[in-house]
Amino acid sequence: MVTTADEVLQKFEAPHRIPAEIYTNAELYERELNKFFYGRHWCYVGLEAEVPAAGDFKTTFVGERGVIMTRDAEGSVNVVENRCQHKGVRLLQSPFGNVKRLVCPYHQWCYKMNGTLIGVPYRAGVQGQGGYPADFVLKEHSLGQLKVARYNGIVFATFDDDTPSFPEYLGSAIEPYFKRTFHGRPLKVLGYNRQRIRGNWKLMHENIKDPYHPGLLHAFFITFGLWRPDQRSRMVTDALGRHACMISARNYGGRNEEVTGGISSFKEGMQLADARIIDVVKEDWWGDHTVVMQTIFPSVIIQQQVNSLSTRQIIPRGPGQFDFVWTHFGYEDDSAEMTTRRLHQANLFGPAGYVSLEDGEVIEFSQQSHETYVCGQSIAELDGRGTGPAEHMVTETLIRSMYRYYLDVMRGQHAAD
Amino acid sequence: MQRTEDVELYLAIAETYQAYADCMDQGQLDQWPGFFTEHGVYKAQARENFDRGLPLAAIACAGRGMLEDRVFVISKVMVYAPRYLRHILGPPRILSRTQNEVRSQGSFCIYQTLAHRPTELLSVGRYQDRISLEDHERLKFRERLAIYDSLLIPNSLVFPL
Repeated sequence: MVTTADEVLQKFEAPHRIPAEIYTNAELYERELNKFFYGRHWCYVGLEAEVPAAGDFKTTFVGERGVIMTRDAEGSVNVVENRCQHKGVRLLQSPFGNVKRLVCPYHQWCYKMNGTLIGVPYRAGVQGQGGYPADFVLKEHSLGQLKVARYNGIVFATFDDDTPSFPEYLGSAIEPYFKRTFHGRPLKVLGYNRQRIRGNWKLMHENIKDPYHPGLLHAFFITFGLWRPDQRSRMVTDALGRHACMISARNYGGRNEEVTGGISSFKEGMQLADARIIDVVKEDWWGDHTVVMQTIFPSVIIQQQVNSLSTRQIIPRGPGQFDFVWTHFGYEDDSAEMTTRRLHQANLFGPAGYVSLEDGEVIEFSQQSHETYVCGQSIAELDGRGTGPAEHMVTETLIRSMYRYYLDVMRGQHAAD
Repeated sequence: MQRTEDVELYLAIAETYQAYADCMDQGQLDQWPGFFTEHGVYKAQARENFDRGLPLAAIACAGRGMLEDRVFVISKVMVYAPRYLRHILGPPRILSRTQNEVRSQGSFCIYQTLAHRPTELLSVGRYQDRISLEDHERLKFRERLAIYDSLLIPNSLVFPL
């Protein structure tokens, strides 16, 4: 017998004990798409620097749905459904490009860059025959237009016009950190990495709301002092618990008995033959922090790991897998040395990254069990069973905070529902 | 290719390509940096980045030190599911040649086999190389770009392509 979404949620009594079926249940997954990705939430679409000129477009996904980000002649950024209103044809296939108008290849319905339908062939018929009825109004068949939020060069969109303003959505606790990276200097795209991770999309959020694991799983981080529990750190979440920031200040690695003693992954004496990969140079905008990892629920992670910056978009592809799209970027006025530095440090991240590869692997290992031991559960009780912020990294509070919010929304007990 | 010398060079390049693939397929990762010159560059780069002139690569090593560090991290540091690789190579083509350097390219198709799972296609693409002719003992890569068409990587890219 198939377990229903409500039965799974019923088992999910409290956010510190997470039933395996939330990672595998198909009905639950459909509800997540509708509530989070297609509901009253802002989802990541891209960077304005990806569509700098009039006519530029980028095709991407919000949830599983194809969308197009466009730049129109007035300089506005639009996000429209990548779906012709006539027969549902995906209008654009290329990831990036430049067009004058959005024209469907099938019957050449023609839309402006903002999605307005401006022409259909044979509207008045041919030689007095056929054509559309007199009451067929073009603008009533425009592309679905998503509400757009632009924030210092990064673009989000939502299918629900009632979603609150983007700053309100981030919340006052998160926005300062968001604004820290996106502070207004024009961005420069350095390139993309794409991977399909065979795990549920929420596992990626858990990973970046989990300051417990980097000092254990990621030998590279702990050995070179890029992230470890004896660093000054802070875990921030918004009032609803859905977004989070993991913030830390780097120390200099090496041995600290309390932290590295008994940790098999700590490699004392590990030396790099070429240290350029950890040639960290402080940037003016950092303040006291060397690492700020933000999870902006439900669709993106914003990475600042010393000089390496990326957005990591989550595109769910069914309950058991998601695409993880990394857009590495810097600032337009970066020196050539800084760009090179960001690119060297990028070796730590992405599908081949010294640390990120490990995250993809362990997420897959988790999913493999969740799909077979369906009565299993995950435990999130480090630092108690409560939710909210913390001033250290020996905690799973951010995971619990997310699932508190998740349960409220999924059970229909939240205003964002 | 008319002269014997050209034929010999072509065969030496083909042999180098095959030796590189065998090295990876046999899991002899420690020998990988030896295929490069002292300042040799290796990149595994998505074709979309290459074609658009975007510099990001999934793996980017500049010089022997970085190549050796990559080997060390893969062999001794990183956590991942063990796997076999199998390279199927197309024949190389020489694009141009000067006194001390050859530019060549060739297609690759790399399968990956993990325990408890059928073999899967990891990546297809092409090598685009600059090969040094200065070392008379052995051809070495000044630059080896593994430009992959398979943009969506099946989770992890553990080993260099």
